[in-house]
Amino acid sequence: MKRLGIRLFQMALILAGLSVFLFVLMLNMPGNPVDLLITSNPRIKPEDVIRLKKLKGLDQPWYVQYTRWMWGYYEPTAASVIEIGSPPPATGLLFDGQVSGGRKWFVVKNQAGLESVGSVVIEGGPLSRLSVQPVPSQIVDVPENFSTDLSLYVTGDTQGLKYELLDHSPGKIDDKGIYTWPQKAIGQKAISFSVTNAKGDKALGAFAVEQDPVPNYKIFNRGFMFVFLGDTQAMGFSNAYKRPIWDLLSGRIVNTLALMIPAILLSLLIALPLGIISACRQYSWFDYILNFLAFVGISLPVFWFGIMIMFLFAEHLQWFPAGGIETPGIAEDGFWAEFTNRFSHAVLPVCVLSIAYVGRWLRYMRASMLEILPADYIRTARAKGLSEKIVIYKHALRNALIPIVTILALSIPVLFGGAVLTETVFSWPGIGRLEYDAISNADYYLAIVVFLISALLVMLGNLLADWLYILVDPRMRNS
Amino acid sequence: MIFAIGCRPAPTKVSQGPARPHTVTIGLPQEPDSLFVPFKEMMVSEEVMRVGTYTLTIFDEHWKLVPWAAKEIPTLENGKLELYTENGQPKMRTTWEIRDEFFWADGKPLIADDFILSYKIIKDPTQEVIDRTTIEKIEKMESRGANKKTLVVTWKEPYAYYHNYRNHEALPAHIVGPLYAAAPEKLKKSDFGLKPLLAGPFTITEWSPGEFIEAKVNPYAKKFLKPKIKEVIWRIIPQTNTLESNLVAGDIDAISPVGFDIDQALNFEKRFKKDFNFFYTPGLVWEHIDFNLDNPILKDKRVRQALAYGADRAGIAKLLFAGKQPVAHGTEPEKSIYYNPNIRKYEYSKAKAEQLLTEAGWIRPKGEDIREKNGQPLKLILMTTSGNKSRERVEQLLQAEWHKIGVDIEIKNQPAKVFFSDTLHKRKFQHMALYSWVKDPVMVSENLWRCDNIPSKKNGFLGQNMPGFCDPKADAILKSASLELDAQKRAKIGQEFEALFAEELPSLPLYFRVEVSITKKGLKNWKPTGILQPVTWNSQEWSWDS
Repeated sequence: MKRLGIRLFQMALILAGLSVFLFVLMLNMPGNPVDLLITSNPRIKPEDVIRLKKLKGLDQPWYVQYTRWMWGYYEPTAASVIEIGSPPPATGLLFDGQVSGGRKWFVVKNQAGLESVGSVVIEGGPLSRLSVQPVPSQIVDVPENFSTDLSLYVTGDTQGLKYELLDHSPGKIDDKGIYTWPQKAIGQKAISFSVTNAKGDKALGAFAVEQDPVPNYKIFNRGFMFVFLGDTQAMGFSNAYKRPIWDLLSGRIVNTLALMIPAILLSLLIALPLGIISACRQYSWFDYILNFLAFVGISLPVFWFGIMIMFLFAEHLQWFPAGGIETPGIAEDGFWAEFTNRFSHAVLPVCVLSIAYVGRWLRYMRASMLEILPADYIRTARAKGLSEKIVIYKHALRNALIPIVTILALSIPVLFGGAVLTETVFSWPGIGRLEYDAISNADYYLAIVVFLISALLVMLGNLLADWLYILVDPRMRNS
Repeated sequence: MIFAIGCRPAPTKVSQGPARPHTVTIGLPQEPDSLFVPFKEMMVSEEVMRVGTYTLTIFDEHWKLVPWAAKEIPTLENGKLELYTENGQPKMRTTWEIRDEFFWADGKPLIADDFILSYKIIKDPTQEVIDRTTIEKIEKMESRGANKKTLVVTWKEPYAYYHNYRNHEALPAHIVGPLYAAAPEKLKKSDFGLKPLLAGPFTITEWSPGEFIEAKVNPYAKKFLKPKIKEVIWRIIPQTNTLESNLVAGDIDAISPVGFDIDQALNFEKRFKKDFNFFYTPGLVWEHIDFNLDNPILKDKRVRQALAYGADRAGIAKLLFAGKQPVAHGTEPEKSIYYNPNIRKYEYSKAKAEQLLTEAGWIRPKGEDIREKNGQPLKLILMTTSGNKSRERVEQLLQAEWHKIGVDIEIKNQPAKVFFSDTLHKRKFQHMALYSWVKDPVMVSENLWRCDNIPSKKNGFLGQNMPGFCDPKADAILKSASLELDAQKRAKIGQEFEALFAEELPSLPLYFRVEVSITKKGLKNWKPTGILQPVTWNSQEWSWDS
């Protein structure tokens, strides 16, 4: 347990160091996204380049940029100004009034707590005998004694008016409709009120009051560290894809796994039995042919092989689709249609990957078996008169699998990185292609996150390999 | 089996007919950077968005600006373009009437406010908008009329390109307006950019990154805007071989002109000439070699001209591009209004090249191939983007040709990123850099040649005059172009610059790249333009042979 703790601590240190290293490396990679614009758009102006660099924080030294990315930073936020007549926004709605007097009032609050009001005329809405006209927004210099007469804006049947402030509004309102701004309120606040006449007609109204100057409100933008607290949005935003990195990653990881797991299972299913037979019949014709094919499989360049397979089965014979993960729009035809469609898209890339793996696993299995077969305990088992089947599968295979299990655990990171070429050839939207695109699009943050995940996987793979080794090899448990 | 395919006959069958009924499926080698009007930069994004037409004007296939969402283009004759003076300053006003056929895909009509909103966002310095050239010339934009169908634009000064494509782009103000008001700093990251509502024949319904983008018919598209097909789908396929396989297998109906190379197209055509339609559209991508004019060797005009005479550009174009890419003599192609047929042309002549070099003092020592001056051999470094096959082949041919006139060329290529962001941007190329600019059919590209646009340490390496060309006469011509409202007179100004350019030769023009696209035989009205306006400009006319 203590050793596991030390290992995890080491991993965290390595990751932290790696993040600094990767960050600096990425920043210094030629092809700063803004500089590239100058040579690609003949219309861009020098002052725009400076403005964009500042907006993206690229004018800061690397350690500032790193801290901003890792820990976060405060971003000043502007008080939103909503024009009378604009419809209410989708987010930040604090108060969505009823339609009264043919007009609907609403109040919006932004993340920094600044409020603003707006209203829309609802055509054909119920017209009441009482209505509130737009109150001009007030800019208050010294907030202490500010007051305004709201009765000026109330029209219709104004007999026996009663005013009431709605619960989120600061300040006071009296029976004559005189509103007074409270002493302590600062920033930009929205005040909404209701007014009722003697006949019981009710109308709603709202206006904004602003202290001048509005204090500099800021929102804290969480950095990458907050991912560990469960805030997936802290992973950042991909500039190239214009969406949160987390949203991109989650889908892509699933796609890659959908390609890699079948490929690995299929290759193990083929390679392990063949490796065993090959070892048992060492130097037979069967062994020679298998070895030859295994070497062919290992040395075939995946890129070329992928293109050839696609040429034959997709272009020439047209048995399978030529790349992609599914036919666009197939999801509308139901689950099974989508499933079979995805399946047919996966066949070629899975086969290409499997063929490369089969060769490798077959060689490992064969070598491992060959090492075990001449061992004394195998000879003993045979001498005991056990059947060849039991000797091979119970005595030899179990021991021969020990190194295989470790190699398998160590190749977990390959799950992510190894499929870049296959994913590119078959235009499969996986994590490997994402990483490649991130680098070529100078999408720094996305590239770093994907790299860090790969690094984490390498380390986890190592840890798992060690642990499995202890588990399967009793000799290791005591040492 | 695999090896046997190497010497295969042409494939037996090629799938014809749409990949999906009533749909055009286009293979796209790149992913769009954004589908949000003021933030999109890439050509691919423009191709996708154009199915939802949102500009006042459009180029037809002859590169002529015609009204689109506007009823007519303001001119002095129709009174919609007014020139006046205010406090002694010359000013300009344009009035646009928006057509009644245009509706957003949610049924709201396209109004002047929609154009004003995108103007506001572009003008806002806290927004990551890149190109603000036009917006900075506008003083204000106003919405007029009872149904807000009139857009009045007041310009700070007369501006000749007031009607250019993409000057005024619309955003649905009833949706984006509130988003912008609520959180301006979050606008670029809002979900609207993933599935934008459009006002043309189609609207974007889904964008699955790395997979596809889907546009469906805008149910409110009226009259001429009503498309003949139901959907446009772009499948994102980064590998060009895979793109070709998809076309042959029938999984896509067309290969987009964006990012498909002429080399590949010529090869593909050899195999499938009869099965597909091939489009080679001459365009405005100007391939050229910039001379570094700070270099003492290249400062001498005679050396530059000698290099021009010594390069058989017509021969290269014929050999490498099957004669499909026209040779450039100036900076403008024949189809451009600024094209000047009477400029000095450097037709291949080894004798003229050698004569000019000798005049410039570069003498060939006896028994040597390479010329010398004061004991220094005439050796020049030629740079371009590595991995770009056609550029690398052009380089090799030029190297061989220039060797014949006694110039030793060293080829030194760099990855595109390094080349563009460092070498070119900071003018680190010692002698020559081969690359291209994409030009505008309406504008005279003054940024490329004005003295104040030479990147230097002093101005923080900003500007795009990479050769370092500085000529007061050229400056005066270029500055007058954007102020000249009369298209005829402006064409004269552009042609005058062409003549000056050809004489001074700050860059060696090579050719105009053709835009290549391939479609299935049955797809009708596919009309690539060759310019910044993408092939989707007339998507409402696309249809299939029944």
